[in-house]
Amino acid sequence: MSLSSAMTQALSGLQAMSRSANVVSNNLANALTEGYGRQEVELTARSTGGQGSGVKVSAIQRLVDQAIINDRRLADGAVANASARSAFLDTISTTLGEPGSGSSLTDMIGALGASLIEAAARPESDAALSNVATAFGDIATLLNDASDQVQQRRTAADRSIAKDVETLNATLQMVDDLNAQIARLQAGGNDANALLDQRQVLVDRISEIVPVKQVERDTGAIALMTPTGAMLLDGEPAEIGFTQSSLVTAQMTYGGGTLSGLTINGTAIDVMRENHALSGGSLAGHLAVRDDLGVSVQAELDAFARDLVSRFSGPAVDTTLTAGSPGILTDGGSAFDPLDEVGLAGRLSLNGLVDPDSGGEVWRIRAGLGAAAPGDVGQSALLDRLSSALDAQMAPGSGSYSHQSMKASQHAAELLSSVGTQSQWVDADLARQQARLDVLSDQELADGVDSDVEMQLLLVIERAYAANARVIETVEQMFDSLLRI
Amino acid sequence: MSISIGDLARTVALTRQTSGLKVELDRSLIELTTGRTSDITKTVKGDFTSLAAIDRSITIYSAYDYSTTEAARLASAQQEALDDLHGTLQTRGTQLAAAASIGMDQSVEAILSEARSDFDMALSRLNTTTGGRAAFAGADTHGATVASADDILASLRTAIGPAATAEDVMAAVDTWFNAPGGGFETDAYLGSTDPLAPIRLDDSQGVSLDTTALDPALRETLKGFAVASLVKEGLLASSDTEQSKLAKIAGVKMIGAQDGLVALRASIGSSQAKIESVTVRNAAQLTSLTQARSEIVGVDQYEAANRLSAVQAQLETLYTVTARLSQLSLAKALG
Repeated sequence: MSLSSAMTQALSGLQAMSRSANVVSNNLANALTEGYGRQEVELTARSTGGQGSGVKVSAIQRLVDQAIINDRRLADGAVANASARSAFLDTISTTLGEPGSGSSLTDMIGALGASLIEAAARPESDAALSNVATAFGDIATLLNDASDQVQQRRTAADRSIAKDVETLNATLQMVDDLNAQIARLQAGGNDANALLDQRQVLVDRISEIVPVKQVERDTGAIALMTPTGAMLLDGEPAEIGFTQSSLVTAQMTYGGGTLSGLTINGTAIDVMRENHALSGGSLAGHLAVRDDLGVSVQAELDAFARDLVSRFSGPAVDTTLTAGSPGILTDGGSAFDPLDEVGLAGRLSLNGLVDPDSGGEVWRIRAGLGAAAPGDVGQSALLDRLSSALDAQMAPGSGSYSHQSMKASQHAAELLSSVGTQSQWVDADLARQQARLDVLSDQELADGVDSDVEMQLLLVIERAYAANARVIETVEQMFDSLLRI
Repeated sequence: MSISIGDLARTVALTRQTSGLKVELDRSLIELTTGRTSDITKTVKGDFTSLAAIDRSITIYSAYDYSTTEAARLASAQQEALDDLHGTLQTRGTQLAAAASIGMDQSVEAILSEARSDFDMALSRLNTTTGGRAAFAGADTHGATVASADDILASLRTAIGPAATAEDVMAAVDTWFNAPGGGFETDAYLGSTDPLAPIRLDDSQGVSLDTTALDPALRETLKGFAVASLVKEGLLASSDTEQSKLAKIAGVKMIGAQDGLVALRASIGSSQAKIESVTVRNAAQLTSLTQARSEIVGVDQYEAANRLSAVQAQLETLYTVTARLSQLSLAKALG
């Protein structure tokens, strides 16, 4: 209890206050930084030999609510997952079109029906027959486009999976490096808050791809575990393996072994299972597009294409055809082969015999594909049979509706509805997940820097600093008086 | 209970609310100006089957409008042609039968000349076209339905040959007209043996306007005129008696042909009635379908206008609140 110890105590007070001011200014500078954990100075009284000797900055705490962050990361993953699936279904929905827009599949089937009725009323008219050819051609083109879209999206999904895997591996490695650095700093009693901020951002990035739970280990390192139990980082980062395919076609599927799956440290995981080891994030979303949605939508397109081809083939409709020769809609120019249905929608085309652009003649629509001559120009029987075939109640040969008899227009409506309802469901799911994410984000941000609180703190610090400085001034005066004795 | 609320929390929340309201504003604007819902997929909850069925029906009924119009035109052309034939048969037939009973003289000659013109007229009626389509030629709607009068008479003369009595001549003429593969079918009829296929009127019914010049009733109508024309050109000139007998037979044939023609006209008439009633029903269906469609995707514009002003007001309030809150800060108060 001497003057010099008073001096030391006051000096420690000055140091602590300037350190606090430092932290306040850091907080204010990062008030808008996402991923920044608000820092607070922890002060403890120092004592030497049972006697108080000032104040010590025992730690600069980084205040984050890890539980909320963990939940928010799961929500991030869920949103990324739903977004990937929603984007796919939206694209296909747009390509197939909206009924009434004039360019949708159902509108085109309607236009075909109308063109057949009008041509049957005036079979002499080349213009009317041309319209029929165009109507068939438009349907084939639309199905081609839809099929191409599906496969392009599958290829893009495959590419996204490769990118995600690359990012995941790289980021896990970076987190592992940071773990080591943080451990070193904390062991030396230093403040590793900036590195903790960086690590939080990296783990957030990982969570979008595969949502992870952060588990604290001693020494300040963390382990990362997926909700389904796979350990992605625990002292050693896991290595995710994937082989990208440069082009994905309808025939290529994961189930068929022609597309790559995922491996963790060399062990393959079954990506077709509902909650596989790497599910819940954008990675799983892209896999769903490539292996589930993409395949099922293609199958429905192919079944519809098959239905159309079958309706207009065969000698019962066109007496000039032999069984086994292609009808007015062909599989790339040939007759349909039930063993080769996959990808049919992408190969569907108008028979060249009636396509003027391929050297064909429109009168064959009236007279028959195998007709040698135009025949009676007023003959509407074949056109009428084509019209009936379009509206006949037939059970499609394959696909989800093969147990129901329906007209072609109904099948088209069911196809659009199937994609439409799936799209609606995924969009609703996305909205739900987004809402959950918003709530959790808000809670997380509420723990962030409140500039009003920092300003108040600054006032207090200012006063404390002034008080300590006053103490020093006073003690110095007391020293002076003492020395003047 | 935490003692602080991070700055970002409020900022993000306000931003989110503002953009949400703006999206809502755009949507209301579209609905107000078009009168239709802005997101059909959402309105029908992804299930397009009803809407697609209505759309299909609307498109198809427009096509049926075209085909019912075509059918009506064809039936009308056929009916008018037969009307002309009918009138002439009655007039000329009675004239000829009466005059020829007396004997071959100038008045008979005059009537026979008229009959020759009638023959030309009858053939031209059978060649009736409507909108470029032959009405009585079956599926071969391009080109003439029957040969020229001269060609037919020449073929008839060959078939009649040396027959010298009125009865023999008439028998030969009957054979020429009626026999399957006979002179009429080979030399006179230029159309197709395939009749016109039924024309569709709606999804479940069609109308058959399949009368061709091969119809026995129509052949009957030509017989009288043909024979009269032959007599005019000197057939059986050797015997006045036979000639006048033949002329009288021709007149009687003309009168008799009316029965078949009336039956034919009645059947075309009932087809016309059917076309008419289906046309009316189709129009009514189209109206109610259009109504049904607007009920599914339509939006009450009064409601849409209300919603638009409500959203506008909300957005303005949000802007005011944002401005006020941005003033509330300790740093500002401290100066």
